[in-house]
Amino acid sequence: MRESWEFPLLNRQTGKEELATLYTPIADNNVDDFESLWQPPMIARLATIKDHDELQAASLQDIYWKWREKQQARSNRFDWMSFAVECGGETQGLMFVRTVGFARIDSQRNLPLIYIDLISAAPWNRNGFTDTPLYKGVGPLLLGAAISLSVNEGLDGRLGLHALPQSEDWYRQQGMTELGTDTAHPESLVYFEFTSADAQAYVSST
Amino acid sequence: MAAKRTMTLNLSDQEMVMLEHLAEEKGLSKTQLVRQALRLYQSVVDRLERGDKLYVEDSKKAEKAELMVL
Repeated sequence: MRESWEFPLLNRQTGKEELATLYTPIADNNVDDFESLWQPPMIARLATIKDHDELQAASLQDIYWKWREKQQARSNRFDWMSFAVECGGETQGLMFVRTVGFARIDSQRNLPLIYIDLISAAPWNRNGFTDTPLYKGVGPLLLGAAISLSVNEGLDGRLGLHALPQSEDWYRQQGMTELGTDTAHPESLVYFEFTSADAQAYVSST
Repeated sequence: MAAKRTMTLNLSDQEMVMLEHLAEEKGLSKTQLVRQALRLYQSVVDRLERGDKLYVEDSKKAEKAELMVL
């Protein structure tokens, strides 16, 4: 059964708040939106990219994430949960979390946490992709949903994730602790973690 | 939140001690620990059913050993 909650999102172009809906799990219309609304402008933008720095600045590194494939493979699984943010009739953000992970920071080493596998905002909401992003707060809304899940599961808000290079600064700004490059990760991405205290501070600040 | 159902779990004294120990160590209730264990087990079973093998690695020796799962 699909569950939903409503939250306000700021439409930066009108300056007014709109009611967004957070759903779990992701549904077909969400992956349809990714393929038909998110990917075409990202692919068009990619064609204009000249070098790696420009690619990173344009925030396109998740362009080929396989949301549909993962949605199908992970349905009816207890170890995965997915979330979608819808606003203005379109999907504004998507997230997959793994509900069984273990912490790496010394202060909470080996305690269970929620691991964010994939988290993404629609390209038109990204500062790097456009000079005039539409909705503000999609990323924090999804991050907050992961923290709420962690709290509800008795994991005290603990979260872990590997960040794409384009997103590392954003996670630093959210107050996550950076544990350096994870050489065991297939793409050698930087690993970040929220301690319980960090997560509480984050929720208090948003 | 999804609706919850209640069941009686029959465990030996040793199993109950282990459940209580792990729950305390991980900062979870016994129900939350069983839920986590179920998720982890489903994750392992899924990988094995896809033909994957499960390994554990000795972090000091960098040695890998296949984990036998029934």
